[in-house]
Parts: sequence; C-alpha cells; structure tokens
Amino acid sequence: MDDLRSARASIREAWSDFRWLEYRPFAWMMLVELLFLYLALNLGKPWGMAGAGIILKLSGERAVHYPTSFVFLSSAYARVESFLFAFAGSFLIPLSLARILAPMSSMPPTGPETVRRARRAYGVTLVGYIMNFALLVAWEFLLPLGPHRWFGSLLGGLKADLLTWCVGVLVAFAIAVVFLYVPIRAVEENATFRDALWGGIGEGFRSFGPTLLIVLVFAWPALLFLAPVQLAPTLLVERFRPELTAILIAIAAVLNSFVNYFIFSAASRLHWINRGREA
Amino acid sequence: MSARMSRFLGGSWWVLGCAACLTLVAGCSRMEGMATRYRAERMVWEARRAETRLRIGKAVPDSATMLRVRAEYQKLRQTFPPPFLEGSGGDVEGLRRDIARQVGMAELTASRTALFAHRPDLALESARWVASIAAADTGLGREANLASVMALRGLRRYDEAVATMRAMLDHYPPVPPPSPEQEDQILGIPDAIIELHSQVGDSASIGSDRAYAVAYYRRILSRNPPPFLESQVRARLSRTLLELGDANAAFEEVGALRRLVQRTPALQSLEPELLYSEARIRGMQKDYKSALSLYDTVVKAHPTSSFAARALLDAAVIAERMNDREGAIARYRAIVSQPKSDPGIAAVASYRMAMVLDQMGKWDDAKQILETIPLKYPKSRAGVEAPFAIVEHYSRSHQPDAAKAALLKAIDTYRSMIGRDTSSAYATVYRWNVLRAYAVLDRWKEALATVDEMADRDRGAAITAEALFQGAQISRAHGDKSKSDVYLQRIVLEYPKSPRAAAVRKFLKDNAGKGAAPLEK
Repeated sequence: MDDLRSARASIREAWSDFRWLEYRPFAWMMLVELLFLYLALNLGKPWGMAGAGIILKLSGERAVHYPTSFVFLSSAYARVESFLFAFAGSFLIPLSLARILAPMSSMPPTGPETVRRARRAYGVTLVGYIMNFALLVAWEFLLPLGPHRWFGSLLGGLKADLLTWCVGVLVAFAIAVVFLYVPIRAVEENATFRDALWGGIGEGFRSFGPTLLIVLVFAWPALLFLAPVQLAPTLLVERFRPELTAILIAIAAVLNSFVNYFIFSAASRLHWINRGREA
Repeated sequence: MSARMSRFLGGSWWVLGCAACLTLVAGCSRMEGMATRYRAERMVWEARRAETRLRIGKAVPDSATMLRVRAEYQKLRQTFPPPFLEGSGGDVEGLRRDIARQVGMAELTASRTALFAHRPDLALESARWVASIAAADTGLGREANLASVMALRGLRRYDEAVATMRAMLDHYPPVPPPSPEQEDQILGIPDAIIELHSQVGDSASIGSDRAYAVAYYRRILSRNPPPFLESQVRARLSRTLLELGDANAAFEEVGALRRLVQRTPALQSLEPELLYSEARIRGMQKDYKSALSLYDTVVKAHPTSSFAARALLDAAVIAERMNDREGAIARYRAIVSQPKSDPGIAAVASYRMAMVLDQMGKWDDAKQILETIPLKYPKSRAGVEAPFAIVEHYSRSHQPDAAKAALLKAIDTYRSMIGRDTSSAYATVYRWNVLRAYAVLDRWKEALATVDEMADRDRGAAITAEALFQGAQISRAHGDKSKSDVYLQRIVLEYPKSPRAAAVRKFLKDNAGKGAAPLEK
C-alpha cells in the first residue's frame, strides 16, 4: 500500500513540477520524429523521398508508393523511434534524468556534472535498451502465435484484434517497467555498469506494481491516437484520408514525448523515495 | 569564442551538413523519379475519390457528370508531360515506365468515361495519346488499343475497329497463362471481331472472320506453345471450326485437346468443354442420341461449369429436331430459371421456347415471353428479333390488323431500346428494324427519315448500305428520283466494299440522264 501511495505522490509531483529544462532532451528526440513524419508526408518531393523514402523502403517497395506508404508508416516510425531511443536516447534520457535528480543531490541542473553523468550512463542505458528491445521483439513474435490465436478462436474479428492489441501493449509496458530504473540508477553518483544494469532490473521487479501504475496513468492518452493507426492502418488509408495516419502518429509522438518525460520523472521520484526508505 | 557559442556553431554545422546531404541525394534523378511517381499515384487516388464523390446518389450519372469525372483523370496528362522524367540509366528508365503507366492508365480511364458520356471522339483522342506514350510497355499499348477499339465502335467506324483488332493480333502474341483458369485477353479478339460484325448485322463478314480466327489460332499452335496456352487455343479453335461447320477438323482438334488433357493433370478442368465439343460434333454428324447423352453428362457431371447452360441449350435444339417438344421446353425452362444465367444463352433459350410454345398452339404464353425478351435481354439478337416474331405470327395466321398493331408496337419497342442506350452497337440494328417496320406499314416518309437517321448515325455499318438501298427503292417508287440517286451515290462513295456497290454503280452509269427507271432488288 505504501508503494502505491508513493507512486501516486510521485505522479502528482512529476505533473506539478514540470520543468522545460528537464524535458528538453525529450523534445530533441520528438523534433527528429516529427521531422521524419514531415518528410514522410512529403514523399512527392525529392527531399521528402530522400529523407523518409529510404527508411520506408526498408519495409518493401510498396512502402514508397501512394497510398500504401501510409500503411507502412507506423512500422517505419517505430523503427525511427527505436533507433533514436537507442543511440540518441541513451545520452538524452540520462541527461534529462540527471537534471531531474540534480536538486535531490544538491547539484545545479545545468553544468558539466550533469553532462558527465549522462555520458557515463550512455553504455549501460544502451545495453538496457537493447535488452528491452530484444524482449519486445520476442514478444511481438509470440503475440500472433499465442494470444491472437486464442482470442481469435474465442471472440473472432475486431474484438479479438482489440484484445490482442491491449494484451500486447500491457506486456510491452511490463517489459519497459523492468528496465526503467537502469538509466535512473546509471546517473547516480558513483554508479557502476553492473550496479546500474542488474540493480536497475532488480528495482524494476521490486517496484513493478507502482511503476506499472505510473506508466499506465501517463501513457493512455497517447494510446488513444496510436490504437487506430496500429489496429486498422489499411482501413484508415482506404476509407479516410491516408494522410490522417501521419497526423495521428504526429499527435501520438508529441504526447509520447511528454509521457516519457513524466514517466521517468515520476519513476526517479519513486526511486528517490525508496532510496530514502531503505536508508 | 565562448563554449556556448562554439557548441551552437558546432550544432549548426551538423544540421547544415545533414541538409546538404539531403539536398544532394534529393537532386539525383532516381529520387526525383520516385517523387514524381508518388505524385502521379496520389493524383490517381484523388481522381478516384473525386469520381466517387461525383457519382454519389446517381445510379446512372449524366454526361456532364461523366465529363467532370474525365477531367479529374485528365489532370495527370496535363500535369506530367512526356518524357515524364529526365535522365538515363536502368533505374530511371524503370521509373519513367512506371510514371507513363500511371498517367496512361488514368488517361484510359478518362477515355472510358468519355465513352460513357457519349463522346467517343474524346475517348478515341485519349486512347491514341496513350498509344503514343506506351513505347515499349506492351501492356499499356494493348490497353490503349483496346480503348481505341471501344471508341471506334462508339463512333461506328467498325472497319477501323476491326483493323485495329487485327493489328493487335499481329502485334501482341498471347502470354502463356500461369493457370488454366486465366486467359490472355488477346485470345478473345477473334471472337470479338465476329461478335462486332454479328451485332451490326454484317453477316457477310462473319464467315471470313471465322476463317481469319482459324488461321490465327493455327499460327499460334505452329509455334509449339506451353500446355496451358495450347489448351486454350485448341479449345477456341475447335469452337470456331464447329461454328464454321467443319466437323472433321473440329473432331481432330478435340482429339488433340483430349490427348493434351490426359498428358497434363492440371488441365482436368477442361473436361466439361471436351464433352461439350464432342457432343456438338455428334450433333453435327446427326448422331442425335449420342449427342443428347453427352450433353446430359455435361449438365449432370459439371452443373456449375459454364458449359452446362450451353449443353442444355444445344440439347434442347436437338430435342426440337427430334420432335420432343416437351423435352425441349423443359431444357429451355431450366436455362431461363437459373439464378445467374448467361444472358446470351438465356435470351436464345427464351426466344426458342416461345417458338416451340407457338408451334404447340400456346400462343398466349409464347407472346408473353416474346414481349419480355427485349426488356430482359436488350443487347441480344433475340431481343432484336422478338418484336418481329410477333408480327410474323399474326401474318402467318392472316390477322392483318393484329400484325399492323404488332408492327407499331415493335417500332415503339425499338425506339425505347435506342433511347436506353444510344451508343450501343445494337442501336443500328434497332433502327434497321424500325425502317423495315415503316416500309411494311407503307409509311414512306417515316421510313425515309429513318434512312437519313441511319446514314447519319450509323455511318460505316454494312447494314446502313442496305438501308440506303431500301431508301433509294422507296424514293424511286414514290417518284423522287433525285433523292433516290443521292442514296445510291452514297452507297458507291461511302460503301465501296458493300455487295450492292457494283450493281448500284452499274445502275447509275446505265441510267445517267434517263428517267425514273425501276430499281430492282
């Protein structure tokens, strides 16, 4: 019960203590994502094709044709997002976390120390992200073989698709929760690679319930926009305007950027409370 | 320089570097081509969307709406002029072909739409433009030629339509199909030529069309095609030989086809066609019992095959010949009562059923069927003949008033059918029958007006030459020699290949400067 109360307090505090400086690293990633979507919306121009077309073409030839490019946009966007989170996010997320945790360590939020801590956390954050990503890929592989078949035979049609998507998202969140504390521990003073990785994973398991609550509380608005894009991309393209897909993904990208910031901000506060309790 | 400024400048250089790379890559022909192709695809999508919007709430859109739809599809031609993409190389060539195909297919849709808007002239212009950009893209070239044929039919330039179809047969060899169920459209062209001449009442050309088709199919077979294509060609060849009445040659082809089917397990689906062809050959050899037995096997063993209905029809005709009227009626009824019956077969079945019922003394039932045929099957030979069949019944039974009333009703029926589809190839035959009806009714002014209408609207059709001849006869019989001569001169000038042309030329030469000599049939 204490854990859940702490989680609620962390959520409230993260929401009310929003700071632009702490959020800014997430904004950089969001801008790159929006740039990709802008290029994908302009495949009719050579620079749009050169920018987003090359990434879209990884999904096959049909992904650079109209209107099928919008059917593949969601998966191409996921690729861009994963790449960004892995290679830029491994520095930018710890940088944001170092700025969030700076007042708790009586340290200025800007300055060489926060950058040093973020740089030091790069390796372990990247490894944590790769492990998270590998598990997600394995889950995506298992999802159609197991749950989707069961729900299909039980409910069939759209209901089965919807339930499979909900279970898929829930398990993906659960996997993310396990690795959420790796960058938080990595930016702490004197953190080692081993402590940050295994300690972070251990903390993820120990605080699983409250952390999952934090994730769910903040993530649902973005899911509302992502759901139609992931559940029925062809329907959106054929029955409505194909460009609607890009607009929905862009809204989800903006929301996700804030969601990620709030989740890390609340989780680092929860981590701090738990640290204090242990001490 | 402060550390902040140095970081800012470093960041700016990085962004500028990325932008420069993007500009460099974007500048290459491949990206330009991919982007152009994408724009073309988007424009096609927009045109389809506009078409859906314009068609909403209109079961049969009017010509103005169809021309607006056409304008939407024509935007591609206006936006992307040939050669569509600058540059050279394999990739660029491929992209250029893709763009040409997008633009060409959109223009062909514009052509089809113009045809629906009763503007075959616009349709022909679009089709010819597409043919001019098709270059090495034989698929697009074929589509363009087909669109030209449709437009020429709409313009009633039948000779040119047939010439285009024959040129297509020389240009585009048939593509071997991946499965026996798929067939290259080009194989249907010889039948389309026969059908066209049959629709416009040019029965004189049908025999030579069939001979042309036989020669074409034999030419393909001489090149040893793969089994699926060979089976399709042999099947068509045997059908055409049967139509020509050459039972022995047809029998040989059916035998060759049966051996091919035995060698190729994937061709088992041809069994109903083989049985049907064998039955037809038996029928032609007057072995009616065997023929009926084979037809019944087709119907019972392959009820879902398209040959089942044909087998029923042919079996019914044989039953008629064997004086088994009840058996014939039962078979005709089976065809007509099928929920998705082939209109071509159902129309013939209805007509023949009415004839048999008339022979059995059930005229009311027969008349009822005959009256519904033009409504149910307007684009069929039976639909053209049914109103006159009623007239003939009354003429045979010496009821002149009823025959006259039936003729007037026939005129109304033909006029309403012309009104339903003014661009149909059958409109020519309907007008011809209206002329015949007026001639029988001795309403010569209306008859001559119909001749003038045909001379104007059905220019080029073989039957129009016959109408002009009829007009000349009527005019001369009513003392209007100059009008008669105008009609005859039109035959000589516009229909030099008509069977009447030589006799008319001689008649005009012999009677130059003389009085109103009678014009013999």
